[in-house]
Amino acid sequence: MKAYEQIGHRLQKAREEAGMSQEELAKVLGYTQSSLSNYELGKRRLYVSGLQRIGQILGKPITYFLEDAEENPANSENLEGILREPFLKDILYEARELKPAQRKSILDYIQWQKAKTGGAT
Amino acid sequence: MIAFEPTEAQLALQTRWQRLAGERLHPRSLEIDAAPAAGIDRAYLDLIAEENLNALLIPEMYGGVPLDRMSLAILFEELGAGDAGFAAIFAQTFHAVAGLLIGGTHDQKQRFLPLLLPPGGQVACFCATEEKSGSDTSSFATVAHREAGGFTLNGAKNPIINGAHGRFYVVWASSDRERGRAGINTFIIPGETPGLAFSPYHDKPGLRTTPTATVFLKDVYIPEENRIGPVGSGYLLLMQILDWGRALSGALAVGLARTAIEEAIRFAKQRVILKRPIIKNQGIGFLLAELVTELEAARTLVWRACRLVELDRDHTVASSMAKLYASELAARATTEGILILGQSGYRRPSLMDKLQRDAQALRIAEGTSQIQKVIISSQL
Repeated sequence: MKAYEQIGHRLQKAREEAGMSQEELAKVLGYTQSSLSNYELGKRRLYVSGLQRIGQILGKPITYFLEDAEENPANSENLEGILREPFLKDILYEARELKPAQRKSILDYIQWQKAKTGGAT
Repeated sequence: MIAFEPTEAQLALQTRWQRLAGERLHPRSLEIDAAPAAGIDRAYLDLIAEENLNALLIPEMYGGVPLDRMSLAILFEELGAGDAGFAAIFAQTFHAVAGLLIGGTHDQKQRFLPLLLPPGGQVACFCATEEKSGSDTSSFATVAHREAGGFTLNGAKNPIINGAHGRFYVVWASSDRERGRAGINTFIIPGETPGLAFSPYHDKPGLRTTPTATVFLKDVYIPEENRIGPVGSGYLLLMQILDWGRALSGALAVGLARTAIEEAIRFAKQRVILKRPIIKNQGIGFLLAELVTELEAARTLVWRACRLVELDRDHTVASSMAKLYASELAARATTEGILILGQSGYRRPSLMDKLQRDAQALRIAEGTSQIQKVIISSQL
């Protein structure tokens, strides 16, 4: 994948994880939706200050957008193993019925729990 | 709508540098071109100092009198018209300064930018390219290992314009090669730092007035405060500098092409065969008509790209188009120029011969023509 396609792909992923639509993020940034779409498609280049600002809004460091490796959870073998663990399949099944913003709240809650307990026990 | 009409101040800048280029660059460049490879010519360093040239790149708060992008485009065209090699020396300083302007802190700018001001003619070095990476800016072999309070750099940058002359070096290195682009950082290295070493100056066919050398880094310690930009932002910083710089490379190429076309026109008007100047032959006259038309088109592309940079609008493709079109024109104009001049151009020393060798280098430097096409096509 070319550099800016990869950056755009990671941007889209971060936006979706944050439960924001293109329209919502574009509005916060002061971009048009079509500009943001071009960034996500890798058709326009984002530079240091722009990506730093987006990272601040989406809670990601600038390096997140530049990493070469794809996310491991996307690997279907890993995913199958993860789904066999207690409750995870049920959580995922229930979360499917929710809107992206609600899913983001649950993700935030899980991350808060992990931070509080110092990770899984 | 983007306006392209130069202001009075820009016209004055153009007139001044047309004169200086004619008097101080053009004649001297032919002498340096014919001499063995060496460092920056003393006359060139004197011109940088006397004209306080670097101040035109530096914000007022750091002692400069900065030009806007359009004015820089006009300046670079005149420098390129006088000697593309001198323009390349100055462009190298521009690139290093751009790194600081984009990613540097106030403290970094305050410490390093005034070093480029007189006394003396000063230059800086932009150290991204490597022998094996070339245009692949995601895989640097130069590494930066984290140490207490800073980094230790090891590797080699090649070819680096201005070589051993740099007051400071802006260097790209990988702090974590496994992380690819996310592991790249940018550092400022003062010129006298222990561990910096240089090869002899390279011999090359074109841009012979621009010294290039390999910059070696052996256990060069750089404190944390000399890292530019956020952690892992080196790749993005490099892309932004190159996107800015390509428009100005285009301006430089327009200047070179203009000199070649003017020389060809001058010759074609003077050279009489079968009782008439050869410019009256349509084979020559039409060719020159095409070249001057393309020159106008190239300049318009350059000015448009510079305006887009100035307006902070998307300029990636515009910069690449300007660089691609202008450098290809420079190559074509000089090749046709030699044909028009015939044996008068195909000898040494001759201006057209030098221009042709310089023009080939412009097709390679700052991303080859193929790389420009990759950039343009990737955004279609």
